Order: sequence, then structure tokens, then C-alpha cells
Amino acid sequence: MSTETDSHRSLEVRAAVSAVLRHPLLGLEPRRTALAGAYLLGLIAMFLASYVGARVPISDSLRTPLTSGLDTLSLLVIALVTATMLLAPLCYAVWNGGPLLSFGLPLTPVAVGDIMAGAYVLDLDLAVALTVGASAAALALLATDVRQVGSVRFWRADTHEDRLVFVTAIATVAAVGIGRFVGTAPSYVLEWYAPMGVVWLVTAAVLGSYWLNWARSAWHTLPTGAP
Amino acid sequence: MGTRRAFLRKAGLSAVGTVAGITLLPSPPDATDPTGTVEAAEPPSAVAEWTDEPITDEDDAPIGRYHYEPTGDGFRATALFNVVVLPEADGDRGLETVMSVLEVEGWIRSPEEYTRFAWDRQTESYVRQQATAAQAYYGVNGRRHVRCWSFEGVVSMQAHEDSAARPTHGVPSYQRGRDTIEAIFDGAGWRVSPDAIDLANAKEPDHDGVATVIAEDP
Repeated sequence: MSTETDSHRSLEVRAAVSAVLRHPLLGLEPRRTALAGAYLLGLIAMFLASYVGARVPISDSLRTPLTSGLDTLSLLVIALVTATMLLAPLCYAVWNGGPLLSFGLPLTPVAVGDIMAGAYVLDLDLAVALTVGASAAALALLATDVRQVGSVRFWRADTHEDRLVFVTAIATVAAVGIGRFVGTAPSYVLEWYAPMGVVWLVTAAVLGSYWLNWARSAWHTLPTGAP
Repeated sequence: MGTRRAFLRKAGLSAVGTVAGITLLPSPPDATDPTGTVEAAEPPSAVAEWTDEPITDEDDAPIGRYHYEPTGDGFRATALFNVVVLPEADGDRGLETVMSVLEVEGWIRSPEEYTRFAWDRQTESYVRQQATAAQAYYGVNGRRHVRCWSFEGVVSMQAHEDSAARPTHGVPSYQRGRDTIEAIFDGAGWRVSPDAIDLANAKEPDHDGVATVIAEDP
């Protein structure tokens, strides 16, 4: 009886996971979406290992190997997080669509770090993550339509208005955050942020052309009043 | 009519979502701009015995000269101390007072970083970093970063600038780390005496071997 309930429950869980993986805001192909999810879980596990390692006592006899191990782990975490924040979201967006997961990829390591450190502050790491995340979400929208049409003429795609609105909302939130950040950061921090300006051009170009396209088609389908 | 209502509903929902997202955003830090000039104070009497002669040995004072990385056959100096802080309280409480000034600046405690050790002359042992903070947890596009130890009521601080992680951090400047700390503590009302103690630990790219002394007493 209980094994039957268990197997029933595991089927339910599996169905729920499968439904989540099929959600178009996360990705187009469930297998790729699952891979990105597994990557994030691996990254979080590595982060936690480094976090715990920085807090375990180091005995004199193990000092050299433990320190060298922890330093290697920190080096790897920083290098992987850097790739996850700057490159992975854009690559994932092009590869598998999914605006929400594309946006979430760079934010996840920053959120995990800040939560564990008890920090709630819009620092440079978060500013970079918001910038790349918003751009990746816009690219995901584009990648989905390009794939649907089978050509770069995305405007021929039957874009879900919902998705466009969703990505616009994400980009607006990110833009407000960056506006506040830029308004208060000292000049040397702005210099460090400056290269991310290029990424905003991509976001603006993609969303701008989508809304232009939307306005044009809305104009054409406007009821004229004539029978 | 139906599509119009649907459209308005969608627009309303997304507006609510956007406002909620904006509300959830944390605020940027109220960071001190380090380009201003710090009003230099006389070094406090507590450090008087260390201001005349350079400190050339880790056992000369409770102030560290370098922090170290353990190697197969001992310890290797990796970076120099360039700030000495004198909180009113001793030990952990004093160290926490120092760190709380950085927290107010939006710095993050114990960020992702390497593990380093400093020499404690009282216990004659190498001690792991006791308190650290940086402007960002990973510093993907750069950050300023400090490691601190408190020995005999004196906090030794190593301040530096981390370059953007491509894919790892470099140290393009010690001086800019020190300038930032001077400006932050000056802004918080502490007494700042630049170039007060000669630690004879000059190092590339830009450290002149001298440490700033910062004291809490008004």
C-alpha cells in the first residue's frame, strides 16, 4: 500500500518537474533546460563547499594542504561565477531561449553569495548581473522567434505578446536598478561598470524593434469603423 | 471589446509586476568618494613608540608587516599591511567596531577570497584572517577588499584593489585600497594619520612601505 503511494507520489513529482522543464519562460528544449538547472545546482554546491571551508577550523598539521585546497576552490568559484555572470546567460539565451532562466542565471550566484553574507545591497556584482540578465532575457525572446521562423526575420514570428511584456518588465526593473546604482556610485566604480553599457545597447535594440513591430501591426489591425 | 479588455488586464498585471520588482530591488550603497582630501591628524600617543623607527620584524610590534600563505616548507609573504586601526575596545569587540564602519558603507563581510595568515607574537603562531570585507562578494568587475587581524588591541588591515576577475583577480593597487579606507573612516569621524608608521614593506605596484594609522578616539 505504502509503496504504491510512494510510486504514485514519485510519478506526481516527476510530472511536476517535467511540466516545469517544459515551461517556455525557462527554455525551449526540456533537456537543455534541465542541463542549465543542473549547472546552477552544481555551482551552488561548489559555492557552499567554499563557504563552509572558509569557516571550518584549520589545524596546524593540515594547514598547507587545506589552505591550498580552499584557495583553489575560491579561485574556481570566482572564475566560474564570472563566466556565469558575463557569458553563460547570453549563450544560454541563444541556445535554448527561456527569458526567465536567462535572466536568473547571472543573478543566482550573486543572490546566493549575498544571502549567505547577509547583505542586501545593489553593489557592482548585482549591477552587472541585472545588466547581463536583462540583455539575455531579450536575446532569449529573439532566439525563440528566430527558431520558430527558421530565419533571422523575427518579425514574421507569431510572438506571444505575454513574453514580450514579461521581458520588458524585467528590463524595466533592471534599468531602474542600474539608474539608481549609476546615480550614487563613485566615479571609479562607474569606470568598472562602464563596459557593461554595450550590453544595454543589445537590450534596447532588441526590445525597441519588438515594440516598434508591435506598434506597426497594432496600427494595421486597428478597426477603421468602415464595414 | 474582449481583446481590448484582455490587453488592459495584461498591461495592468505587468505594471504591478514591474512595480513589485522595483520595490524588491535593494538600494545601492552610500559609498564614500575616496577622491576628496582627508584631514591628516597627529598620530595618537598609543602608537608613539612605533612612529620614529621603521618596524622591520614581525616581533617588533603587535602590528603585522605582511600576511602569509603556507607553503610546503614554511610561509610565504603575499601582501603587506598598509593600515593600522586603533578601536577603543580590545579584541573581537574592537575588531567588530572597525568592520561595522565598512558595513555601513555597504561592504560585504567574508566575501569569496583566499585564506591568509598573520603572525601573532604573543602566541607565537600564524593566525588565520579574523575579519574580512569587500565591496562585492565576487568582485566580477573589480572591488576593494580588506583582511584584518586584531593583536593586543591593535587591528592590522591589509587593503587593496582587486582587478576585474578575468577569470581571476589581480592586485593593480594597494594605494587605492588604502585611500578608500582613509576616506571611509575619515567620513565616519575617526582620526586618520596617513604615512604614520614605516613598516618597511614597500611592494609593487604602488605601496611605499608606510602605513596609515586610524584611531577611534574623538
